Amino acid sequence: MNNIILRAQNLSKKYGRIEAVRNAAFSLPEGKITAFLGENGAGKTTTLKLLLGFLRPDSGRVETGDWRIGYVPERPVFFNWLKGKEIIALTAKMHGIEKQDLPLKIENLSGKISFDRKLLERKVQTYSLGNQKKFSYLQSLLISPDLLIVDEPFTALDPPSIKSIRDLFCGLKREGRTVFLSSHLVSEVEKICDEIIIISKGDIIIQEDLNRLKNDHVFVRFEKAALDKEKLSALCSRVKEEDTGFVMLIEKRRLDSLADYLGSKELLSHEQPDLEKIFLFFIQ
Amino acid sequence: MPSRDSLKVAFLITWKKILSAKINYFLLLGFLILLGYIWQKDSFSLSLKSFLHLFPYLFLFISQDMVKDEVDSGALENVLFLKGDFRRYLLVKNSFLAVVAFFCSLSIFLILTAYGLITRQFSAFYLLQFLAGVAAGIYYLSLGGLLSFSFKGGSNVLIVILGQVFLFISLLLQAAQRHGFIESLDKAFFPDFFSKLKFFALAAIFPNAVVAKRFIAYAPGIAAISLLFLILQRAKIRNLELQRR
Repeated sequence: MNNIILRAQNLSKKYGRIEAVRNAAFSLPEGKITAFLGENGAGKTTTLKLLLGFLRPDSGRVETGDWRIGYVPERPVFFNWLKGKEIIALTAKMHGIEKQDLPLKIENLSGKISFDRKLLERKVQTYSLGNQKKFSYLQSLLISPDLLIVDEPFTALDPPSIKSIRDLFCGLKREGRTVFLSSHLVSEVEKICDEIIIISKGDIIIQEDLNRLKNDHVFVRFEKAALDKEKLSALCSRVKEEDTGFVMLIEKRRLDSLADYLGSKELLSHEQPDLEKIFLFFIQ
Repeated sequence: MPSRDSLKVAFLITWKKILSAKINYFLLLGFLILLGYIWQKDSFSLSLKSFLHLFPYLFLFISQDMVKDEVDSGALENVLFLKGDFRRYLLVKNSFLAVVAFFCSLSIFLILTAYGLITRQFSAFYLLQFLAGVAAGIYYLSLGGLLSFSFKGGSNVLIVILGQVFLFISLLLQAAQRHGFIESLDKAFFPDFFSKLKFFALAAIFPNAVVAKRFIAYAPGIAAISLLFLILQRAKIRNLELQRR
């Protein structure tokens, strides 16, 4: 059982009349990669900003210990009067990193994320978007974060850089660090994450271990029939109505009970879930 | 994060911003050239008086881009400013700007004072006028700061200057009448509460007025309003959030 590094308790946030996040409750297990998935405008970035203290929740709270937190925004912006090396020096000063340790640390980290160190001599706003993103990773990794929060980790990155960042996340996990990724690039996230949290229209829909969800569950499609809703809910609460029938995400061990209940003729098909199907099932 | 280090970081960021803005050099240089020109063409005394009446503008110009520019840019959504530390940065930055403008003004004032003392052209009253000018400067900074929550790109400064232009035009239009408020201004005598209030309204748009000998008694009033604005600004920063860009 992993420790919890961060816990969100009933977080809510409104922008005027729009409820961006509603009673969001979830927790981040230590030493794991958790993916935060949701469609555009689902409330992912607002939730991240609430966790990071950039926004104040209208209600609820964020519980986190005295951890070092790193943050990489979707499109990082830096003060346009500062050079890369100056921002790095400020970050090091703020987190008590000794000056003499910096060059080696920068060399190691730059290698991991394929960042050209010569760029540090220039103002960050003159970098390409991809290099700004890499610089943001460099700045966050410099403080050796216990928890790294990343909004859209692969935005503006080329395929080799995407691979480097994926490897980086796995490396952080091996070191026992926690990574929290907000993304809608489901296929990329699926390769690395341990746990998923899905948010849709401001509501947290599910938090689950991804392997458990994929290995122990199955999608079942069946025809519309007279249903005993109580009995169906007892079998599984995750049922959606489609044009041709119903689709249900159910634990494999309950398949027999479902077949008994429905009778074989109504049961159309069942298929193994992947993250994309799971994601679409929950948000559509 | 140790608060001492976050203060240092805020100081460093602000200092580098001031140094990197070429407009600051041009303004300071322009101001010094103007004082030198007046000194050369007229007298040291007029140059010193011009300095005392104009240096509060240094505080006004330095107050551009205080809040909204930085919030909207997204640069505060950085690992340097997590857990609400962007608020601390903004508070420190605004105080630091006041200190920079003060020391800049003080340096020029000390040079002029030294020359005035050597040539026996310095009066102790100039010191009082300098303090009144600092009150006016702090007022500009607090007003500029408040306006910068809504206006960016230096438009907070522009609004103050436009207000002054309208004020001078309206005073010019009334000048021919030689009675009423203009007469009160001329005599620096405001007999009733309403005319005193009118003068405060004028000073709120053009606080440099309190540097003048005849109005210097109103400088504490301007300082009190500045304090109020600064408290308001502090409260606004404490409630500030980095919303959608």
